[in-house]
Amino acid sequence: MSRVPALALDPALRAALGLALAGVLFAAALPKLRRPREFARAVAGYELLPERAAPAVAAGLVAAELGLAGALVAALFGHAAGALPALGSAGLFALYAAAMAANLARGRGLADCGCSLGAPRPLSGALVARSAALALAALALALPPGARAWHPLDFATAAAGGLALFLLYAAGDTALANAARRARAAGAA
Amino acid sequence: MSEALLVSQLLLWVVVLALAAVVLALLRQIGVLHERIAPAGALVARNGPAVGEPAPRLALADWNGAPLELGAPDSAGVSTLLLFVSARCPVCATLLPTLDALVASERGRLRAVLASDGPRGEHERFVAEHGLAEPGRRYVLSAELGLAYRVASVPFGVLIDAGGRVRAQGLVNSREHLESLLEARDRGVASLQEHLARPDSRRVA
Repeated sequence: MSRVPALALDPALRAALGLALAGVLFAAALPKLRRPREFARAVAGYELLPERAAPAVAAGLVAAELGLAGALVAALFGHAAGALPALGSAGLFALYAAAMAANLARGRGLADCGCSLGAPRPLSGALVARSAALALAALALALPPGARAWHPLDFATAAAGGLALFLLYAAGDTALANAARRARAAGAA
Repeated sequence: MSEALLVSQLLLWVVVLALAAVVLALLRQIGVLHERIAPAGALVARNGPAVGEPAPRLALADWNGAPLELGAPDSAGVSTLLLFVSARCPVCATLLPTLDALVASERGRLRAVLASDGPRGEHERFVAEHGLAEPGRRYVLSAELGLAYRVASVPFGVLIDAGGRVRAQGLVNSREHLESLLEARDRGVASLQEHLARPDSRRVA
């Protein structure tokens, strides 16, 4: 029986992806830190838990996002706890995807997703797909690093690649926000 | 060779990052544009006189005190382009020469009346700067006029035909918008938007 090649992720790609995901989590946590009450209301709006628990859960989610962001960055410098930060992030994204999907299935597509405070965004399949994709990316990060030795050029690949991936994510998020705004304006006119 | 590859690689990263930043900036700008356009859509459903209805008849006095009648049928077949402006609206100022050019091109079939409201003192400088007190210019300050047309936002243009009916109206930001009011009159539609929405069989162009 031929040996199945072990699945591994190139160290430079791993670093770029780790930085990008850390950026995504940090950028997601920032507005929630600035508007805690609004986020708590959004969490309550999902109607998946008792209303009284919403503020605590909201705070917990923000803490998780920040903690995971920090852990992902720390993992890059070798202070890793193995694949834990990656798996944790995957779990968080999967949780978001599931919560949104559950509400969409209930027909509550107009609830605010809580992902872009200040400009409420209705739930949509696109948001679920995005969270699922992020979960998959985080799972990829849980793979062991490839055996290739680190080269100075890899610093550039990691930094520039991570930043580029993050910018593309931000661009996609802006596109989703525009679509939501257009839909809102069309509904109002 | 490997040095060339390295240079190429680094340059590529720089370019990719720049492109990603530009894309993000562009999408943000599109979002901003949507915000600016959306309110105009909401303002279309107004309570002012509808197109086709007789324009409110008002006897007012212009800046120089000369009597100015609006909404009455004109025996000489002259239409009136009523443009609501504000002294503090930069777009309004840029439209004034355009308005003159439009009136000139209509060769006597169109007169322009500029309207605003507020105390006279607020408009002294605006009038002086743009020569609105000169012969041939009609500038009227009337809150009643603005209310009659339910003007919420400026610059706002209304085309009143020689029969005293409202033929076209809308927010105007450019020469194209002003001309579209005349186009709408000529084609017998409320606005270019309505013209474009009609089924193809009724469209000329």
